[in-house]
Amino acid sequence: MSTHHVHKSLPILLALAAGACTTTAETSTSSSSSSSGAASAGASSTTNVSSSRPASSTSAATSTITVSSSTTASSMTTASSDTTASSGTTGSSGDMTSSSGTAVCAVTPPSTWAAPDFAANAANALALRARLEALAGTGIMRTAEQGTSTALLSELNAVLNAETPSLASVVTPAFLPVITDSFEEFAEVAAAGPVASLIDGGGQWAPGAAGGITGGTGARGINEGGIEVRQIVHKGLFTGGAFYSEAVRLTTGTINEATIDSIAALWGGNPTLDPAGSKVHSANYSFGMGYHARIVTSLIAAKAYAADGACNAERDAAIVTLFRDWELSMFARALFYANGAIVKAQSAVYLDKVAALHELAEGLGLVWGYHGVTTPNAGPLSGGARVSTDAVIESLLTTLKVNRTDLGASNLGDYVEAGSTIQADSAAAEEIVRAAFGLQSGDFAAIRTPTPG
Amino acid sequence: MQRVWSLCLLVLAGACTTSNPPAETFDREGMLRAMVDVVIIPSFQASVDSATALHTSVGALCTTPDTAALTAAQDAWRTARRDWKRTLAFQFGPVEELLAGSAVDTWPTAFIFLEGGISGATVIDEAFVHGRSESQRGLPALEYLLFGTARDNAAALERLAPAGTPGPRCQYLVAAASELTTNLQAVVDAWRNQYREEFTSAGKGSATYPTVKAAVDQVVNQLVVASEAIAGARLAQPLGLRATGAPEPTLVESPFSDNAAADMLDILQGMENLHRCRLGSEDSLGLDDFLRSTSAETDASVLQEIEELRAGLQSIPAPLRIAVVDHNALVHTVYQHSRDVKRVFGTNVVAALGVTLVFNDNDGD
Repeated sequence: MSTHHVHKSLPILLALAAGACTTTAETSTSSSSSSSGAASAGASSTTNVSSSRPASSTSAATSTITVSSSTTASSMTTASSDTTASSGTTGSSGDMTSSSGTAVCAVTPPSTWAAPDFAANAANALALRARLEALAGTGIMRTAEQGTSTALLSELNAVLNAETPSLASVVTPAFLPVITDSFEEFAEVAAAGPVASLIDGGGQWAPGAAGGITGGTGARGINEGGIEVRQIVHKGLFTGGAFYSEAVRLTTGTINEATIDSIAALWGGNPTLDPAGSKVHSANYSFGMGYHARIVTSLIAAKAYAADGACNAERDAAIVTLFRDWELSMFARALFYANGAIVKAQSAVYLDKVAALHELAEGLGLVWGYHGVTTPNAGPLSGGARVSTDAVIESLLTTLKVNRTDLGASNLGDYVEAGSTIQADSAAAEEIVRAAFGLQSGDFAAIRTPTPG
Repeated sequence: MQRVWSLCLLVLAGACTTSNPPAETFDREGMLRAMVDVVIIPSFQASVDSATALHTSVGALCTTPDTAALTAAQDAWRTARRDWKRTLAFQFGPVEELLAGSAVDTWPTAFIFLEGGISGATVIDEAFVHGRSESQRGLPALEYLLFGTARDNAAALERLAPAGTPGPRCQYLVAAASELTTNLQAVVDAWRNQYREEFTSAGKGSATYPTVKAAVDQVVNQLVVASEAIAGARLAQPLGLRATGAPEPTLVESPFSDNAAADMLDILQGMENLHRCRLGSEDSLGLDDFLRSTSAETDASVLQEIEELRAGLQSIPAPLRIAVVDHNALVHTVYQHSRDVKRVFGTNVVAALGVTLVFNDNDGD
């Protein structure tokens, strides 16, 4: 089964997005903001998080899926062209007009990505990436797990709020309470220190009051609820909890080539978007699930179209496609982890059980961040910032034994006990995602054993 | 099996596709025997010997704690470090089954937990150290105690023996050296008593290696692992290539002794030793001979890439933690050489010998 099968549903989503473009193209192009949109992120502070974000509801995404289930990809193209024509946008070339005298897009996207000014264009995005690594990548949360630093609650909050732009300035209001709870949990885990095992001699989950740092060389900080807390913070923030939503925000103003560089950086791409080169955060996981090349194609197209005012519809369609692939690849990765955890959780080897909890936490973080991501009232994503709904995410988290308001009250530790429900719960999670994204049951072969690329 | 194929594709698309297997005329069983007897067991024995010398040395230090004894113990640590690193290319079998790899060489050292353990201990002996997590044991923990985070011998000595009197850190040092020796001896014993027969009877009754090819696969896969150990954790990580792209000097290996470049050179030396089946004056039937039986060009590429990486590593001004910042472009170039070594083993050798490559699905976090 190839990964292409997964995307049978994509034309539906793209058609929807195109519909959204039809109604919002003028709004999008007439909006004003900084050239890249990133500068405003830099000016944001923790207290500005709420006010700087569009307040439209997330229900748009849900209704979009339902309404457009019969729409085709070709209709998307038509709609986009019509939008361009009716907007009266003048192309860059005088002879690039339709028979009716309106400008048409004559841009053919190149085959390769070029971003000579990536560092400057994406400066804020790259700075945010560095802040996230300092917090939950190679920085304080990881070094605390490794026993080379402390991680007091005050120290964690200090890193979250450090510098400009700070991570705190781009955390969504919905994910901020998760971060707050995660920090409290992590500080307790770090204080508990290393523990040989979180399972007693009878094979029962026995984490003590706060869990601890376990798993041999892996050194995973796992709380009493069976959650590796750092993963929730790290994965949640580089997806919907901060970076994805920040990328959505960038699409609400003027979209130019610099904007696309910033979006690429927030996704986690390197300056050349070379799949063989360094790629971090979402880009790394998109690659693992076989979506990297697709997203790069969308970025190349979006950037090429962004250089020509006659190509706004094409640009917006490419943007919608890349956001849909970004989101879908994160949910696919979560399912990949949930499926992979089945065998590991039931292994007789303790380190395998820890690995199962690690992978489950990674997947949970990848999807949890999308909870509460709001749809902007302008730009190509005004028809829906995402496909997943809050109800879908809540259902996923509940199915996988997560307590959303108190991580310590979660019950993932049950999964490493004999006779657990992990297989059934993983299957249920697949069903939730299948329904939400309109996937076919056959698509899951590619999700369980993905082909990176 | 499905998992194996998918994981292969993760890193090297097509690498799993075994090419035409080489002619069966080459004495692969003889090669496996030579590898064990000429390189593998003698190398692990050298590691035991130098660990034993380290144990003796730290014992002397904690009897007479002075600068000369500290320096001697630090030198003994470097020797033990060298001999252990030269075994990475064949750390399969007993090393995995006995979990010796993590017990001997988990880094970074969890020095905050280690200090907490020492301060709360009533008896510090080998059993106490053995009960600590891997990141508080083995060579990295010994490095922390011998060199100190400040890289200041006077300070390190004062911490081991406050006001000249050996303290609990010295007890931990001696106990950790003893535990290190015990763990390494167990590996050598396992090779001599069971695993040698298991490995060399591949295809002739071996439970672990039902075919000779399975044993050859093991060897080549471990060489790929060793090459990735250089390219990934030891170069890409401090270069920041696994994160933001900005150098991360704190992520170098052996940070307190500034032994990071030597570590990589020794890993590479161990790879070459196994590839050529050569150790000291002993030179026997190796992977190089096997390769030449099917593709002399590939063998030449292996040796060329190893030499280029060695030259590159030697050209990095010490210490690496400073070089990743001050000589960033140079370290990047060396990193590319390390990728070339990984590629030549993971692609060219695999194709030439019809090896099945297996990767783990570690996503780096």
